[in-house]
Amino acid sequence: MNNAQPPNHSNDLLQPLLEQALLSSVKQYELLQRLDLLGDILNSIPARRWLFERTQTSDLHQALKARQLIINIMQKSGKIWRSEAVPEVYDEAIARTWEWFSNKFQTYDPEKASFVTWFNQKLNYAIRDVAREQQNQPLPLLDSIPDPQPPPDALIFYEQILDLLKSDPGNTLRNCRMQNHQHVTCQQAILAILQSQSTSAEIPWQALANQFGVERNQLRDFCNHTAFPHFRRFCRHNGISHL
Amino acid sequence: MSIPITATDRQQAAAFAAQQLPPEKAAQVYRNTISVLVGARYLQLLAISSDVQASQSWDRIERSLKNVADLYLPELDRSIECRSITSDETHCFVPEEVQTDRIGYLIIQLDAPYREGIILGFMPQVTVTQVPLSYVQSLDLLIDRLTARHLGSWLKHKFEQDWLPRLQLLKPPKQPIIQMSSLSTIDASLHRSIEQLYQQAAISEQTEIAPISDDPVTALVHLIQTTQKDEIRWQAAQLLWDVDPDHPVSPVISVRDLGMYLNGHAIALMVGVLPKADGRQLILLRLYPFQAESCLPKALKLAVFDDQNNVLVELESRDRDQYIQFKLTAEPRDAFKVRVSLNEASVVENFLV
Repeated sequence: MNNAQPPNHSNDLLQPLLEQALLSSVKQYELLQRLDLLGDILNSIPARRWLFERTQTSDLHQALKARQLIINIMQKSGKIWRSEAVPEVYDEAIARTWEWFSNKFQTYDPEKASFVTWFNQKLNYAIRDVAREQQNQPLPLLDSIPDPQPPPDALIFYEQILDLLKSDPGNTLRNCRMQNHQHVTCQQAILAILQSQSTSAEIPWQALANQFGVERNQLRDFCNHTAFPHFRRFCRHNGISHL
Repeated sequence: MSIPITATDRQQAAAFAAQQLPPEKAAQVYRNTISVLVGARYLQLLAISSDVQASQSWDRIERSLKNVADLYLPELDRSIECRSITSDETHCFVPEEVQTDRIGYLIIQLDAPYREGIILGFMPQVTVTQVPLSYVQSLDLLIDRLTARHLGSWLKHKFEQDWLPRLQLLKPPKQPIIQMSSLSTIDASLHRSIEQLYQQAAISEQTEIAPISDDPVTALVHLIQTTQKDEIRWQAAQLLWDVDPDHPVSPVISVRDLGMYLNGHAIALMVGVLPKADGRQLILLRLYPFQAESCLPKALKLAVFDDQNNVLVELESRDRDQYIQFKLTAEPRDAFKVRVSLNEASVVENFLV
């Protein structure tokens, strides 16, 4: 074994810990709290080789668990580089690096570097790349949270939907009725839901059920399985964009 | 697990939010959009592909009506719901309109200024709108679900790549019918088997032997649909499967070669699914040797676990056992896990009914 830096905990100790962590989420949680061990695992060539091999098995279940454990170890180790870069640049760079990590995972070589070292090298380049791009085309700033005044487009869309609902060409929505409660139609249900939005962002299932004189679950199932899909098809058919 | 949120993600969420009129609805859509994007990035880390474009949360009409944060997983043809929670909340809100038709719920902690999402855990099912955080389970359970074999899809004759029904493996033990050469002997043997099953049914149900149709398929279908005994139902179903595997009343049977997990032993795990009239399913799990081996190696173990990892059964092959098997009855949406092990080697399969 040509370890340049022999870890404090021998591989004889690390491998059983990793095996347990893959078998039990409680053991994994315990392991992830032990910063000293996480550092040793990352530094130990046999430990990371063992982990990487687990991700290469054709047993997808085992492979995914091992892959998730590696990412957890990397994140909990605290060794992923946090830069002083502009937040927007760092966020973009680290997202790109994780994407790269996931795509290139097969090419990782446990003999050469720890998972984190491999990751940090790429992250370093990504930050430089993003910063350079940023100069030409600035990223949207962090505080671009939705404008409290909805743009006219939202108003037009809402009115379009309401008009279409009420006019109901071909009586498509009126004729779609709740089984055993023929007085409840798709048109009424959707209209009631849209109107309720002026007071709450959540669908008031109980109040609507009372209003229609049906059970809450019945109304919900009718909406989920019949009215919503029906209305969606109806909107498409009548040229309302779903984008 | 921490997942980064990029400026582009926030811009996308702001664009969707701006389509909504009431400010509360806009805030809801903003968080839902971020949540779905975080879910997609997390799954991508596990090399699981998702398609936001095919999700309801990406459909303007759907998200205008509902509080929806679904993410479509094309390989499974199912959706996962990505629900968000803030760090000062103790309960996760899961609206009723998303409590069905999901493979499960990813719980994601999101706080302003939305630079990262923390994946807190997973729940396979939700039946209340306010879910206490203590109910949230580990992400290992998500992996169990993602890699589970969907028996519902099997019934529609959609199989996973490594579970494609392969005829050369489908050689149940002591299977005289396949080995017989002439058609008439097959017929005679089949008729005898059917008669025996009718007799067993009559004895166990303490009735007269029912009239047996001359047509074996009709006779077997009648028995499958009328017998009270699941054991007899299974035997009849297997005979029917031998005669006509595509018959609508036939069970769906598939097999997986476990050789590469069990030190090269040519052992197959067969799973048969037979829907019952009450919506439940009879499931048969059987381990048997194929190729030249005529019996199982000694001390081969078959263990079945329920959703909560409780052992339902643990069987072990004895000297010269030709097969070991276990039958269970499952409700729709039940999940169970099968572990096959031989000495140090083992393989786990998750199933979702």
